[in-house]
Amino acid sequence: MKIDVDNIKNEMNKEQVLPDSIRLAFDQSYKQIRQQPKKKRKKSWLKFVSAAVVMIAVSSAILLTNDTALAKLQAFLGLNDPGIDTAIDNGDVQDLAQVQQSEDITITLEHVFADAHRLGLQLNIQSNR
Amino acid sequence: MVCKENEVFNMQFEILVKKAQKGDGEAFIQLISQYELTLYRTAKRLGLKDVDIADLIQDTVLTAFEKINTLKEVKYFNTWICRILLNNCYSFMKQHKRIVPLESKHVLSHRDNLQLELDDALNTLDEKYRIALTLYYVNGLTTKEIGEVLHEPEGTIKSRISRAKKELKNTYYMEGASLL
Repeated sequence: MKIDVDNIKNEMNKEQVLPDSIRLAFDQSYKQIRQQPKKKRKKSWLKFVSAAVVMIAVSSAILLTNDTALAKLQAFLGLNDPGIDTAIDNGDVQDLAQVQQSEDITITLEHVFADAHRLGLQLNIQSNR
Repeated sequence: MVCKENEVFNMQFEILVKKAQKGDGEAFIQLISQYELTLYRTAKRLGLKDVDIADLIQDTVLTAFEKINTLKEVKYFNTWICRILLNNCYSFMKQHKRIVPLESKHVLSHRDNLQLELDDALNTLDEKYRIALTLYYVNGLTTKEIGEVLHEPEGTIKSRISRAKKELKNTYYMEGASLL
C-alpha cells in the first residue's frame, strides 16, 4: 500500500490499541509505583517541622539572651513578674548546658525552669561564621 | 463551551501533576494513562521492536515518577515526558546500534511499485529527520518545543520536518500528492 502524504499524521498514529506486551509493561510500572511508600510527602512535612523548630529556637534565643529584648517582651506581655526572680533566688532554675550542633551553628540550652504557670528556657546560639 | 471544557481539563491536569509531585502515585498513574498510546507510538516510529519498547516504557514511567519534582511548569509535562522517553530510546539505540545499509534509500527509490508501509519509509530517513517528524506528528509538539527537547534552533527543526516530508514524497509517495 502506498501512503498518501495527506494522511501522514493518521498513519503515524495508526496504533489505536496497545499490544499485550506494552499493556503489561505499563501495568507493571503502575504496580511498582503503587508499592512505593510516599516518602516525598513525609520528607517535606519533616522539613517544615524542622524549619519551624529552628525558627522558634532562634527567636527564643534572641529574646532570652538579650536583656533589652527580654525586658521589652516582659513589658509587652505584662510579664514583669517577681516570681521569675524568686525562682532564680530559690535555685529552681536548672543548669542544663545541652548542646546541639548543626554545620557551623551551635545551640546551647543553658537553663530551664518551670512552675505551675511558666516554662522558661535560656538558649545560646553561636555561629562560627 | 469548548473553551470551558479545555479550561476544566487543564485545571484537572494541573491538579494531577501537583498531586504527583507531592508523591501521589495514583495521580501520576492517571496522568501517564493519558499518554500511553503516544509514548508507544513515539518509540514505534523510532523503529524499535515491541519487546524493547516494553522495557523502555517501564524505565520511562518509573524515572518520570522519581523525577517529577524536577518538572517546573505543569504545561511542559508533555515535552518533559517525551524527553525522558527519547533519552531512554537514544541510550538503547546507541547500545544496540542498528545497521542500516547506506544505499538502501537509493535501492528502494527505484522500486516504484513496491508496496511500502510507513514504518519502512520512515526507517530509511535519517534519524534526525525521523525524530523531528515523530515529535511533530505523534507527540503533537510545536517546532519550538521540539527545538527545546532536541537542543536545536527552531529554524533547524522546521527545516528538518520540511526535508523529511520532501524525502518521503520524492521517494515513496504517489506523484501529485500534496504535502500537509
